[in-house]
Amino acid sequence: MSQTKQIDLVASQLFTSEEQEALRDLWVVYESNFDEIQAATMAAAEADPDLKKVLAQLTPSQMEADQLKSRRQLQRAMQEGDWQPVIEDIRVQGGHYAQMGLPFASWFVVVTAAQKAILERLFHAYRKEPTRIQAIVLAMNKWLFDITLASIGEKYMDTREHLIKQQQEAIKELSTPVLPLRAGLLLLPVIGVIDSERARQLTEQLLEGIRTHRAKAVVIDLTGVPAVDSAVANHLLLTVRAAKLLGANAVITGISTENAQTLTRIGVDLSGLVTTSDLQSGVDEAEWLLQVARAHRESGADGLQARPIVDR
Amino acid sequence: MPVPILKQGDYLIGSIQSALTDTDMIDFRGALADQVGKNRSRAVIIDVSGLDIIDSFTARTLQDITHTVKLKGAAAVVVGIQPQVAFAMVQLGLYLDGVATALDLDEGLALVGRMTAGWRARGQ
Amino acid sequence: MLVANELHIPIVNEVDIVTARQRGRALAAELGFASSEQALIATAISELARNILQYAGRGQVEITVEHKGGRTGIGVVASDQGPGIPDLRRALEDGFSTGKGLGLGLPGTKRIMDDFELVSDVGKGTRVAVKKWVR
Repeated sequence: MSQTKQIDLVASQLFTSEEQEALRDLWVVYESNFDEIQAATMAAAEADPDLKKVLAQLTPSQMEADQLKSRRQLQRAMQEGDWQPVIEDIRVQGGHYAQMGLPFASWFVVVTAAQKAILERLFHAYRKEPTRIQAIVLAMNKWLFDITLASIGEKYMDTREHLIKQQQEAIKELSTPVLPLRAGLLLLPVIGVIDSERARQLTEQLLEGIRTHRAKAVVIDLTGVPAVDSAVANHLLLTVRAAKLLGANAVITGISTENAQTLTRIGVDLSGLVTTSDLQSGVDEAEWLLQVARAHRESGADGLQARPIVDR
Repeated sequence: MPVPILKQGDYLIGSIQSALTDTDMIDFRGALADQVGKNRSRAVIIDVSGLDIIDSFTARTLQDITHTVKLKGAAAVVVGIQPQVAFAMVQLGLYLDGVATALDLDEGLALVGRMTAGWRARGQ
Repeated sequence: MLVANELHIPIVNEVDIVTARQRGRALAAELGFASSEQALIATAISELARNILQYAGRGQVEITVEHKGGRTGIGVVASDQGPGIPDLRRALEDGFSTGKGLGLGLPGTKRIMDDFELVSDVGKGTRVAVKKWVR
């Protein structure tokens, strides 16, 4: 889980009462110059290639709705000290954009552009009261950097950790290799949810493996596949047939009773397959197939009465 | 461009090097049948490793060849189907039912050894 | 870069079948199709071109670059002015293992391509249009 510090949501601890007062003043400036500040911020966003790409994916009505919501939330926060909705929203957005691959640096672009636009108008509005400006600027920086960017940053940490974990899983699955158990015998452990793309990859890997290792028997283990539906079953049949064209016989292991029943119920014909319930007996079966083949090869010259294997 | 057919002891080996026209395939089928008869070959090995695709015509011809030489008393093995060709074939619905297959020439020779051993034992 | 957005190959003799599938495969490679998918596309072209020759005597294969919704793909239109297919239903039946079907390779082609369209009028001709999209 995340090691980063959770921003405290209790308003009274977020801002001092002086800061809260300053924020109320800030809101006045922000609200009355909202459109211009918004325009300036958007212009900066458009100028950043990463942000531009992300913005292009939003519809104008969606953007408008988002902005309206943010504006209301910010009003409640600055005027009444209710920061919880704002912070939650920032977190959600931060996580969302982190997942989309927006670099954290892009947020700096947005925040500093907003800050600049606000400052300009702030100085103009309170040009006769410099101490007030100072208080407002301090409070504003706390809002923009300590809270906004920090919340987003927190989300990036979470998301990064999550993505890294996802990638590790993906790598583990992709590199589920075709395992040579011994000469001429391959094991393909299939793990996880199989979509058509992955199924295709696995088949290609298996066929390449048969060629590389000169395998004549392959064990395809489905123990790690939670749901064997008709698409998977049909793909399995194709894989077994393709392996046969390369001279390899397949044994399928690990179809649970439940999956077997489902397949029967939906009418998939598995009668052409050699199947065993567990991996070990599947491997034994494959080993037997290989031994039979080798015995024949060795006894062939003597013409011993072996079981004739014709036209499989 | 005719497919070269080599004799190796009791076996004949036909190596298809590259894309063949339909006529070439049919000629090959005829030539193979001829040679099996002339040499009293026990088996033919058809090496298709030079084919970048195998379509329904080629698949049917391979099945025909297997059938024809069997009628003349010989076994047939197709070797050298490339992994991607095999995958494309099964997706198209071409399974080469009834045709013995092996990975390559070496495996093919081992397989025909097994296939004909039984026949020898039965005094064929 | 791509030489042409469109290939037009008359199918008049059996060498043309090989030409059509080799050029189709080359275009598929340029468009970024995986090697295994190139094999599928080449096989489909071979099947369609052969049908033309076998049932109509002559015709043509057009291979195009397709675009839709940001995706790129390959399109193949095999057309002839031959006798047409009288029983479309049977033509699309899987027949290899059972011996039924007309052996036209159409059901298989339909399976491996993403889009498939068949129009045939007895006495007028046949047009098969297929597409496959790069993943």
